[in-house]
Amino acid sequence: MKLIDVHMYYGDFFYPIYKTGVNDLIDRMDLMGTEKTIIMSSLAINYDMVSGNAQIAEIVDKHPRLYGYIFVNSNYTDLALNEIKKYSSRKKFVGIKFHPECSNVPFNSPVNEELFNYIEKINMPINVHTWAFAEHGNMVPNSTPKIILEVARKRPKLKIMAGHMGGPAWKEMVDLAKGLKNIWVSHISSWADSDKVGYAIKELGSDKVLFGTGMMEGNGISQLGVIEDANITKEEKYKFCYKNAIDLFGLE
Amino acid sequence: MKRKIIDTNTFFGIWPRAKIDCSIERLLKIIEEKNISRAFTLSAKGIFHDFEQGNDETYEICNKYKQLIPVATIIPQKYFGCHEEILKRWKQGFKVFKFFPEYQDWNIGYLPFIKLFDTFSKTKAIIILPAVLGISSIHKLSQKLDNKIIISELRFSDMAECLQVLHENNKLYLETQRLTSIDAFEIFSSEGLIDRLVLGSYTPIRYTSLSITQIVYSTISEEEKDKIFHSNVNKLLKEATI
Repeated sequence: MKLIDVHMYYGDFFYPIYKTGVNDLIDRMDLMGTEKTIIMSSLAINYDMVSGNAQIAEIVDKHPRLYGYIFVNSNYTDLALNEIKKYSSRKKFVGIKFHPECSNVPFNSPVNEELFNYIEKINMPINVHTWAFAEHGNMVPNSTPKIILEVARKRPKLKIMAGHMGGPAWKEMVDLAKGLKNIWVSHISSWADSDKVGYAIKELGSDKVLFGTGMMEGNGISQLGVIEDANITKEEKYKFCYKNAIDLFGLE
Repeated sequence: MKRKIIDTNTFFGIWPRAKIDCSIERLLKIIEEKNISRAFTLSAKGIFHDFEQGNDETYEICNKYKQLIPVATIIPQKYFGCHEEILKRWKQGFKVFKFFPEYQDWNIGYLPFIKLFDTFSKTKAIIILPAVLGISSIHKLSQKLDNKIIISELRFSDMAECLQVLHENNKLYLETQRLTSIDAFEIFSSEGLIDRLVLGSYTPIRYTSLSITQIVYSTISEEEKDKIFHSNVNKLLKEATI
């Protein structure tokens, strides 16, 4: 089975994890049989956007199977726009990552408008963290399905992949996204209700659901169990695990 | 006459959760403008990403700028290296350790955190904990050790609990920043608890002057104000020696 992982973190988290180096990441890909992976920087997401993106640039240049997300922190839109301009013309950067909870800025905030204008122009897909409720000590949620979909409706040219598919709100995510052409979902979360992948493919279409692992924070191996158990056809599995990633992110 | 002020709550680095210039240059400028003679500080990197790297940055910056007092932080969720880090930083000269569960999703019952107190008991370090952990719970936890604890991020709705635990427990101190009820300082004064208050501002994330003016304009005595502004915390720092 051919696999592309569209949701992998590179770098340390403040949890007890031994293996967070790039060689560990490649080892895991080999173990799972993953052909290609799109990575994002934990340093960028949690603290320093510029240094984190620079780490990713260095890594994806060296490793043919790795591609990168440009992370943008919406608190620093000038810097963020520079980051997009700096990396988006490089072939190995294939998407933009927003984490509205870690940045504590709602995805539908007006501060993102300038970024969205530019991202529309360069036609690069967005992977946005999507979750049911406020996280990381935030008082107000920034990434709920409704917030994400408000942007998708307002900006039909923007290609948005809802990372984690809303987490516990995955059904709401799928139900509300129905019919929207510019929304994709990635199923990854640390648990997986049965049969959320099957449901998403049935409701959104087989071209709209993508495979991700959440490594090296999470254990991607467990996601192989999701593929095994999902009630989908062989053709749908191929699209979910591989083809949709090629198509959405333009991977070679 | 210029008042001596020690601020127990400042940061530098990058603040990923809001648009704020958190650079060391800005922190130093604010400190100078507000006539703050010394400030506890730490790198935000230690809160949001990697506490060892953050503590290294704090150590380096505080060695360079002597008006800054280094504060170490530990993220108990990391598990590996936490106890060693406490002893390493204590030996390095850090007298203060501060925790940030409000950004890291853990609570007062979190055993990896509670176990750190076994190691803290080998030091005289000052520990700063946010009120979100529960003021009465901090009081109970503090009975495991002799270290002094400053409770930060209090709200005026916490007043009753604060008064009660301060009367019960002489190891506990309060940071004043959010004690914003109209006569909070007068109440602490009449309760004989001024010796247990220290100034903190959360600079540069929050307005520095908020913390200062509420003390300046209170009707407590100048001597009491000086205790809050510097002498209480100075005393704590002197006690926190190897």
